[in-house]
Amino acid sequence: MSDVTERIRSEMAAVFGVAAADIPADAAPGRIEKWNSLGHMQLIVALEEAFKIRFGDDDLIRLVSLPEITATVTRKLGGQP
Amino acid sequence: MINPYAIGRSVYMRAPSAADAAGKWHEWLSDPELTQYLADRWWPNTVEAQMAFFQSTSATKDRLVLAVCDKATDTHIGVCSLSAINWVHRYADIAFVVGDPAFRNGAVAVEIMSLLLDVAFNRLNLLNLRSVHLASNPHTPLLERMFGFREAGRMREFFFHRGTYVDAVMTQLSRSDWAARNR
Repeated sequence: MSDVTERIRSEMAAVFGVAAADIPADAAPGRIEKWNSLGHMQLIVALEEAFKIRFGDDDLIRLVSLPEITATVTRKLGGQP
Repeated sequence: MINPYAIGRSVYMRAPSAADAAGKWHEWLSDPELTQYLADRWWPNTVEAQMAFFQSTSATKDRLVLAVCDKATDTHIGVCSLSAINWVHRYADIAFVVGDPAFRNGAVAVEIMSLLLDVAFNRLNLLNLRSVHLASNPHTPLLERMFGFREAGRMREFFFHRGTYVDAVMTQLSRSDWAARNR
């Protein structure tokens, strides 16, 4: 598991109040209890602060699952998705 | 899709129809959970009132109201608007609601905002958008922060919400700020 994915899981765990190990590989809104409307927005803000990045509109609409979040954050950090 | 005006990843927007007004639209604006943070919704809504509103929107060019639909099913799931459009100064008020509870997952709200900003700045050539929300609303500050809205001011203890008075928070998003964020 990449460092980026681990860090994202860590942020998810903090926002959603779950253990990082309990976040499935295909985690998405609704599949974790607190990944609701407010949780989704809290997660995005947390990711921007944690990784020191700002998502553009095209990025924001892609943040709908753990794999897509990982790919988007990796790309924003300058890596390959 | 039916008569799409703006197309997103999972939702699209189209002109509202009389069928929308006769459907769930009026119920959303009576829903206590959905309307609790809407400053102008404290009276029960009706099909008749919704139909009258729908008919008024087609007769004016200072308010753009769009139905939000799920791409997979064409289900009407919400409504968005650019209101009080001032074509001289080129600003408008922005607002939307995700009416269908099944789609209130945050991701849809983000997609609606993204599409609506594209409509406002790229299609209607507006320069500024403004918004007002209750300080007790936990969603809007986060959503607007994501999209680069700036707080423009507060009217203190202005709105009555659940037994107490809360500030009215006024925010602005300029086209230049939006474009800079999306470069």
